[in-house]
Amino acid sequence: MISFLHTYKVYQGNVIALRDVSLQVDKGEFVYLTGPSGAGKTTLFRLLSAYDRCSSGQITVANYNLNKIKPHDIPKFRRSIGVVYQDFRLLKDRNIFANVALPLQVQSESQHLIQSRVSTLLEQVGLMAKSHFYPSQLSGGEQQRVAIARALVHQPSIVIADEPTGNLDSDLSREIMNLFDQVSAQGTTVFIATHDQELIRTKARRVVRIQSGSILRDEK
Amino acid sequence: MIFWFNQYILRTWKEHTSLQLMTLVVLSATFTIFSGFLFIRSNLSSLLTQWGDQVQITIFLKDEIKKDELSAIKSVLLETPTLTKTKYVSKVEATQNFIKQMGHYSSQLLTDPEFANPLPASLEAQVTQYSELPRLVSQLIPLPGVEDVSYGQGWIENYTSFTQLFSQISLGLILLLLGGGLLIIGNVIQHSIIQRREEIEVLELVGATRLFIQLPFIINGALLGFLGAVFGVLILSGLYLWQQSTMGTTLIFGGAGIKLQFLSLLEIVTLLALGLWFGAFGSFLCIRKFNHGWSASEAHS
Repeated sequence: MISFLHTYKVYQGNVIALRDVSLQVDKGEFVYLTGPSGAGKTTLFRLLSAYDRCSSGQITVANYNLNKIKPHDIPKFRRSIGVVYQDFRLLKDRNIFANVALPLQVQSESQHLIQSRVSTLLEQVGLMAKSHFYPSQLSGGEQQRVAIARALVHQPSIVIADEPTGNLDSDLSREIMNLFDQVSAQGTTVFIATHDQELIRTKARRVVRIQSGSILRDEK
Repeated sequence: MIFWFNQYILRTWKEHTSLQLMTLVVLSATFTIFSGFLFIRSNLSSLLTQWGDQVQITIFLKDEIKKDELSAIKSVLLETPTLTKTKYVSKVEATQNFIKQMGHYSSQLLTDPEFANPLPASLEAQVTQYSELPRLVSQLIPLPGVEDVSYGQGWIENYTSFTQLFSQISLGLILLLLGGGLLIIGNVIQHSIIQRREEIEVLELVGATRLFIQLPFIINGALLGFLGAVFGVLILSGLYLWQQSTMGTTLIFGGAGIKLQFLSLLEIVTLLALGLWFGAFGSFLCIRKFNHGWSASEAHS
């Protein structure tokens, strides 16, 4: 489902963010990517979600070779994954409902389906009562839940999240992780980048540790 | 999808009302001038058509003309579909007409035994299509018995040259105006792109296609162009109605009453379609290279 092969990412000024990363994640797996700040988690996450391109090596996600992906295939690929960004990337001038509905709207889904799916997910993340609020009217944790709902609304085959519980208290973190568990139980591959060791210890999951741009350990 | 585009257009107009309105004002002015040129051009052309029935052609005949030669000339004239009237003027009638014009200065001329009538006999014909005259003249001149042909070629040729010059100058000015209009639309769309960069990135990241991202900008440009053309035609029709109420339905020009005609339905529809296309094209030029799928990474790398 996800494959990194001898992947390098070098930024301007010869800053090596990822060094010879090789990793294989199968369909339906739940994987934590962890490591200290600056280890390369976010870079790996960005490559995985086709937010950025690698400098060398090969990345395959959901049968798309991201090194050779054609421009007209990029939207198709992005529709097959759900992504939770660390900075949420919500539209400030759109209310919560419209933000969550975005992936369905770009796929030209019917208003009826949009209404039903978005309402269900907002119920699940506990924000139905605030569906008409704007992002600026929500707390960091609430914005994070909106971002998670948006990543799940189009029922992707892979969900990738960068620090999805970073702004949440422990109770809300558990609720959100339960939501990811439910998604995983339905056969969706879940890949979460986090430095929250408590979260990792709670459940027995595969943990990939990264440091200085290289994979240190892969514990299944 | 339509719902999304409607929302986008409404938001753009709500958030950037003054910019959109200013653009609309400039485009309306552009299309007013454009349709004004079209109006003047088509009226200049119809002027000759309206004057067509007053265009007279005079075929001066040789003194020694034979009957069959005169018949040949008449048959050429009768084959002309736009011919309305022919009249044979004999040498004597020509002289009488001349005397009539000269008044008392030449009252004794005809009875003067020393007077040798220098005026030739002629055929006078009237046609309704001035454009047919050169062809008709070229048929008549080589005929035996024809001395000369006169049809006021001077003013017609000068007038035609004037309308051609006007057309060329107005075409140049229209192209210049449209070029300026394209720049203005491009500027507005560029401004919208900058304002919505973050939104475009998010749309890319959730899987929006290139068309989905570009189409709202193109629709907005097309709307601006179309409304500009609509207001341009409305302003021109207002000016036309004002002219009619203040000067009447006809203008006196060169001694003849000329009816000014407003743009035809076809011309109006063409103008509106041009406005629509013009706006869409201006936006497309601006956005065509935008959104290749990696805007977000380029903006944040």
